[in-house]
Amino acid sequence: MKINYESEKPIFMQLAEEIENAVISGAFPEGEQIPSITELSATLKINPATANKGVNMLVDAGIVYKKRGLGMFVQEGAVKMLTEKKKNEFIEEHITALVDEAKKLGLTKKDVLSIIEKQFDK
Amino acid sequence: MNFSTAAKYQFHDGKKSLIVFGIVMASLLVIFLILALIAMVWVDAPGSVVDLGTATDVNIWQYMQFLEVTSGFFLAVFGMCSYKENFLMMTQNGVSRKTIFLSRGAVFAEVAALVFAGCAAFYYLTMVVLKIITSIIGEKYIFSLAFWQPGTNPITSSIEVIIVFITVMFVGYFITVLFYRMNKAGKIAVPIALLILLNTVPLVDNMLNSGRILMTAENIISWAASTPINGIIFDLIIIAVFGCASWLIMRKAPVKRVN
Amino acid sequence: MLEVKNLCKTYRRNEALTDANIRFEEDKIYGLLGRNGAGKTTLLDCITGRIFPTSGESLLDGEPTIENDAALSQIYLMAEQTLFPESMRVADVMKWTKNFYPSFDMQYAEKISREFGLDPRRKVKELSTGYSSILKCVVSLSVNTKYVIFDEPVLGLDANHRELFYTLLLKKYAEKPFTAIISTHLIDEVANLIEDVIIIDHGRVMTQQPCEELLASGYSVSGKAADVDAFIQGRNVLSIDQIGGLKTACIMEKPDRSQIPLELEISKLDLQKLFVQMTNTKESV
Repeated sequence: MKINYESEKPIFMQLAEEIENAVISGAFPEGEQIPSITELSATLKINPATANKGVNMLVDAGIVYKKRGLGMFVQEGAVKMLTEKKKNEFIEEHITALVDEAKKLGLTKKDVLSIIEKQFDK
Repeated sequence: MNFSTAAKYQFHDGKKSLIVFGIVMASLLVIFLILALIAMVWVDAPGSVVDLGTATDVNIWQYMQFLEVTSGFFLAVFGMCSYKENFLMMTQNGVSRKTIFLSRGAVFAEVAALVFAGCAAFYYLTMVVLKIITSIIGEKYIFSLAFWQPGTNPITSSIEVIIVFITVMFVGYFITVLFYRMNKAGKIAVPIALLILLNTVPLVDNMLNSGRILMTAENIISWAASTPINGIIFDLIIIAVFGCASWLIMRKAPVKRVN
Repeated sequence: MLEVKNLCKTYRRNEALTDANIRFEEDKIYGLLGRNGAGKTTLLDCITGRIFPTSGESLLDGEPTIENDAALSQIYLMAEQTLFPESMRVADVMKWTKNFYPSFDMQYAEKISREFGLDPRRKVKELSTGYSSILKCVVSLSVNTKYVIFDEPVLGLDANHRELFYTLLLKKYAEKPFTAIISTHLIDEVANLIEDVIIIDHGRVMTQQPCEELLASGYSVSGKAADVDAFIQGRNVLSIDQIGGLKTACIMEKPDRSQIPLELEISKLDLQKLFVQMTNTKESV
């Protein structure tokens, strides 16, 4: 798990994203336990309150849940939820920006589509 | 509740020097016994150069006095070593100055009683050994086990000795607390001022005041020495004076920064 | 809550501490930051009664802390200066700490001593500067009082030991929260550990707020000098650095992503940089 301490993005947000990525990649499988706040904060050298904030974000989003006395576990169906979410983010961030930029550069819809096709075929 | 821990610590801190003192005294006791043996067996023979005659009741309470005086000096030094390190260690462990001072008083009382018991034990031990020796070489000397001055009440005498011990420790304590608080200038000025005072006051008093101050001082001291109870009262006053003085100086003592 | 109200400490020549008002809540990690001689240690010494404040008060749950055994039993200050007797052995230091603080965890202390490589048979005076600090770290990590104050805890520690200390501190705090106050001038190292930050400069408290908040009050942009110059016109600029053609500027306003041109890279304010700028201004005048 990598945190960029310099990034403008708050650490707790980065932590949440890293956990999400680990869930999608299967490193933290559904139904399995994720590292405790103690482990996370000690390993990443961040304040446990910050770690808590990040994890709580995931709890609120339904990705992770807390079992009293046992720890924190990945919710069943989290991968599907996250994949859906990432898809929307991808479209939002990349596709919209791509189309805007393409328009700025004078590329037509046909140009853009053929470039994308070529990239997929590679 | 950390009063008892503070007392325990301060007593523990002084244990080592008490043990060393005990060993030194034990060595002196052995030397004394050897000398006594020589005196009784070889020197004091009828017709020899030194003839101590026949004594029916040899009360060597002077020996006890010697033990007590030596202990007194030791305890004064003991009091002088009781401040700085203890103060710092206990401050680190969250003990207030008030508790440090009060537990220090408790430890002084404990140590005084202990040292007195030690003196008495040494005296008895010496007497017992001497009695054994005389029973071997002949009943020429009869040693009395009394360790107090003939004609005085043993209980008040003993209490007086213990209180003298406590007094002496508080005086030493006062000196060291004073020196901790003073800056360099004070550490030089105070001893010099004291020396000057001790030398000039008697002189001036004799010349201009027909020695009234000195006489009053002598009267007080002889009053105090006349009976043990007077001595106890006198010493309690001194304890109060030096104790209060120590407290007043240390209650605002800062932990000095080395850097 | 541990509170300091209008605390002042004046020595004959200077005002070491002026009108300090600080609140230390329960179960938080605080960073007490300041330059050498800013007044951090004076503040901590006043709170624990090692020195007496000239005016003002220090209260623990409403009760004065100074000369108060009950209050002091809940606050453990590990100072730069070692107050343990020189001839005492490490093992005895811990034994006596346990006597004075029943909550001291001896097993834990022994365990982390081994991790640090601290020999329990050594005498205090035989310890190097580093191991002196390590002894103090071990004791203060094991004492388990509600408030533990670390005054320059990693003085003289090598990188490995520093990391070990921070790891142990975080683990302990995560498992059983307490109030940790870390007073240091090594800002970079503690920036991510602390929750709230208190900055002291020339005896005055400049700010007390959550670290996140402080850092979010601005941002830094970097890029080509010309681009940066154009951007910072009319903005509240805290500092400017330049290496060759690359310029970085710290701006004290809430970042508006949409306003930042693509040529400039935006990043978070660096606590150390921010601190240096905040405490430099007086001298540069």
